[in-house]
Amino acid sequence: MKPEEMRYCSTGEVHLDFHGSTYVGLKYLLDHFGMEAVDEVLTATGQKVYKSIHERLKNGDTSELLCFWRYYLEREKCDFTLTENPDGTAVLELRECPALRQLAKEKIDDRPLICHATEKLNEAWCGGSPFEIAVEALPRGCRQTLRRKTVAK
Amino acid sequence: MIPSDHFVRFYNEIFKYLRKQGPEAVAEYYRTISRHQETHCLKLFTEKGIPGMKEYWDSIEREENCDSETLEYSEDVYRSCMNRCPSLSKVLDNDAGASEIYCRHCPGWVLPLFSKCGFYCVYDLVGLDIPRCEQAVFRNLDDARAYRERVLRRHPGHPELVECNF
Amino acid sequence: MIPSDHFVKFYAEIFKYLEKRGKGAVDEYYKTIAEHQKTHCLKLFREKGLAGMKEYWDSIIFEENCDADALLEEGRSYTFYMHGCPSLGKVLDNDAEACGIYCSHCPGWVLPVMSAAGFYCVYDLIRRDIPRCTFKVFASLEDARAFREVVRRRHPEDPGLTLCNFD
Repeated sequence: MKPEEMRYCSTGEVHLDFHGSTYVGLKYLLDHFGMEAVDEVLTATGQKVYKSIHERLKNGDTSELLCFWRYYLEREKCDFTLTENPDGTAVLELRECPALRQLAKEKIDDRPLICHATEKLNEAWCGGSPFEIAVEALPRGCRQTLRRKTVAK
Repeated sequence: MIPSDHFVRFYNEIFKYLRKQGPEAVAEYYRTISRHQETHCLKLFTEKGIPGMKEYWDSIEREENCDSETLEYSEDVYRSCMNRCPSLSKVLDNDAGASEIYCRHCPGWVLPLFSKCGFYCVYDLVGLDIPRCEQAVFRNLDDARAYRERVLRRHPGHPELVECNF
Repeated sequence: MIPSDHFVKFYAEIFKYLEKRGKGAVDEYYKTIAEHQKTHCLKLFREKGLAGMKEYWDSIIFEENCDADALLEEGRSYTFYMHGCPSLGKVLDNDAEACGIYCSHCPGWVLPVMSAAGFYCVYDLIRRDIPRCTFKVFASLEDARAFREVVRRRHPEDPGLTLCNFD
């Protein structure tokens, strides 16, 4: 998929301070309403805002998710490698997470909440689809493996 | 990961959630955002006043790809017009639908910050479903009051489209 | 007698009548208005250019009680922001029904006058049911074309809200 074919294709300058604002939002929900609220908002984001990615994944199509990862990580000048396999699975090696990088500039240290947000978003995207995304932490980022769910025998 | 470019659509979901929890939940979130935003601009506004505000919003205009214009700028007054807000524009271009209160988050965080710096601000929200608004900042309270009356006349029957910090 | 102050409410009735007779009838009226308006401002615009436009509209802002801002970038552009249009404001405050094309009468006469004066103008009507709009006049066609794209991006759903006097 080409970037311009994605449902949302942002262009122009990038305002990286929004990662700080994302964190403030997540923390606010957590502190005032608990993790249930965090998960409810992230699920709505994953399945309603990103309806296109979610619907494609449910239909076995990972193209928009992979295009999304590549396009936005390049826009934010991240150090990453995205290895795409012919069957639609992939491995994203994100050696420096743009969110953690920005939060470090703002002297905010709350990796668990940021990483939870990524995992929940991934779970929302993959909900009802043949795929799952396994996340392993790296020193300044993570490895996300998009793979087919193992069907229980 | 939510890319920086898509933050506003996530933000919009937060406002939908908080609206269901009640007005105080929304108001408290505005206060939280404002405190966070202070780390970006309170020192600049306090030390440099209106020129500092212009400096800040000039960089925001560039980074957030705003279609905006300065209407009036001096040591005592800074008025600007957002002709196409990239924030609400993205929220409107959104499969999840826009929160009705989305626009209010800007005055929600900006007004307390101006109060802390000792400036007076009037917001004209124009219409909550169109990505335009106008912000006017004054050093002098009398000027701000007069301007507020001007803006209220633009919205007969809808004073809720005018917000201020005095 | 229709007082000067109520002209616009009568004006709206003319547009409603002409709209029922078709686009040609409305366009012809715009041309007639433009010819009349030229007697007020064409000489000034030709002789003083963008500064002449500021002079003209500064007096209109005063006489018609407009809530407006006018910005002159000498030699490059003249920008008019109408924040509270007294014309549409009065037409909306009106026991007769609204006229859907009322806003179009301004670019209807302004654009031909700008063409006659040798300038390039882009109108942003914002929305036809709120009394706000903005227009920008350029000495350079290239600048005008670039600005037209900016305005078009404001109205992805309704290209009819962006009007201009050039290709």
